[in-house]
Amino acid sequence: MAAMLNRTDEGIAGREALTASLLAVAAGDQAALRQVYDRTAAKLFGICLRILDDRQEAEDVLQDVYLTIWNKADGFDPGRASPITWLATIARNRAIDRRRALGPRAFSRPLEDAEERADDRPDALDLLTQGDEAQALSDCLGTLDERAGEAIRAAFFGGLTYEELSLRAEMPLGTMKSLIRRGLIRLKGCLEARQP
Amino acid sequence: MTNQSRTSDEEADILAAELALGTLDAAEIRAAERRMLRDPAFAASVEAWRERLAPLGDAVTPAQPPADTWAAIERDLARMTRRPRSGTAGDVAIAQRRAERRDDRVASLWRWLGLGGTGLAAASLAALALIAAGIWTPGPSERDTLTATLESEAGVPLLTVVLDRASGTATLVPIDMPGSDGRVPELWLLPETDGGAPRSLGLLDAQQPLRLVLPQEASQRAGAALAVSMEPEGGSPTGLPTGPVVASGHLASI
Repeated sequence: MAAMLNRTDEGIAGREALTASLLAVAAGDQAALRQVYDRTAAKLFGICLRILDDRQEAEDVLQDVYLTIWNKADGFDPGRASPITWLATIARNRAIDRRRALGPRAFSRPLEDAEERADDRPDALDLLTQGDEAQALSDCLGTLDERAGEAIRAAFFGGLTYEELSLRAEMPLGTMKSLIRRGLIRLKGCLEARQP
Repeated sequence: MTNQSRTSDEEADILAAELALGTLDAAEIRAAERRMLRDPAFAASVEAWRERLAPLGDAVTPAQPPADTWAAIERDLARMTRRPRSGTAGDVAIAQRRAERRDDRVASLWRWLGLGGTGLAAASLAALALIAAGIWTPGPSERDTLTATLESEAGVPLLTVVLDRASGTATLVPIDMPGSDGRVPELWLLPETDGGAPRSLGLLDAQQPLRLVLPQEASQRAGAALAVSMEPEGGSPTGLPTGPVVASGHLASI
């Protein structure tokens, strides 16, 4: 289902095509932006929708995302970031900005809703990707304290603040912070140990 | 593994991870993004965390946006003047180099401004002097730089805004923003017509300059009205101004 721009399935050719399009966008080529849009809109809209949980807001942010891509394409450095990570980061940041601007009240939906997200679940990665990086991340997340792994996933997918995470898990704010921080340190150690 | 035993490098790496993960509140995000501008090691650390966590992004279910989204983007693009659309490749290259040089100067200005919170009024005047002296010149394709001085009701200037329409980037230099008492200044774009709602442009830092990419409608018109209200930590909980308006002003061409 996510085959279009999966990090592994996209393949080297797809990645290079996207890099070339982004470099053309940086030079002011609007047709290239359309190519980027066609290849990535569904993925980036998925990210916005997941973080904002509101179609209208997600649509507004998606437009901002492509205008930001247009404006910032000359900051894309293929030597430093993969094109899809660069694009997804813009989408995540714009959606998180909007989510913070709207304030927590806009997102006070029942807890059980939040739990019913297939992509929060630990096996979501395994279902989708078999690539080395994804496998390593999935394995390493699996070595964490279960609550830490869950909180890190919820933060990434939902764009939740520490405060929202602590309310959701019914855990004191300080405890949630140290749980995630310890988890992140451990995650990094695990990933680095697996690198060849 | 306790907080006390972490080095400042480890603390910086954790902050980088938190920025990449998305757990920070709006003010913390702004502060961390400003640090990226002046601390290359920190910026590299953030990039590394983004790549590390990126495979998680592949697990997000894609969703088809409405069919008219591209048309809306195209309409916005048509109103933007990022760089010359016509002209030779040489013209474009020159424009790019000019933009790069300008970015370099802006970056060093930022590093310089980022050094300390004291003498901010002097620093902001110096920034304006740089603009006035033509050191930080708007290029030919982007000559419409808009500025605004946001003043209190008594006419005291509190904040200077310099908007580069080409990039939609606003540079916000606090002159004399009020102290916190638990509240943070939030910048608003006021509606063009009666009945519209103010739109939040983000939280400000009373102590430090910062840059924001503004939505198109703000960048497109001289005369747009801006205002600053004091809001609870993390910004207005309702998406509309809830606190007192402390400053306001209009964007104008220079």
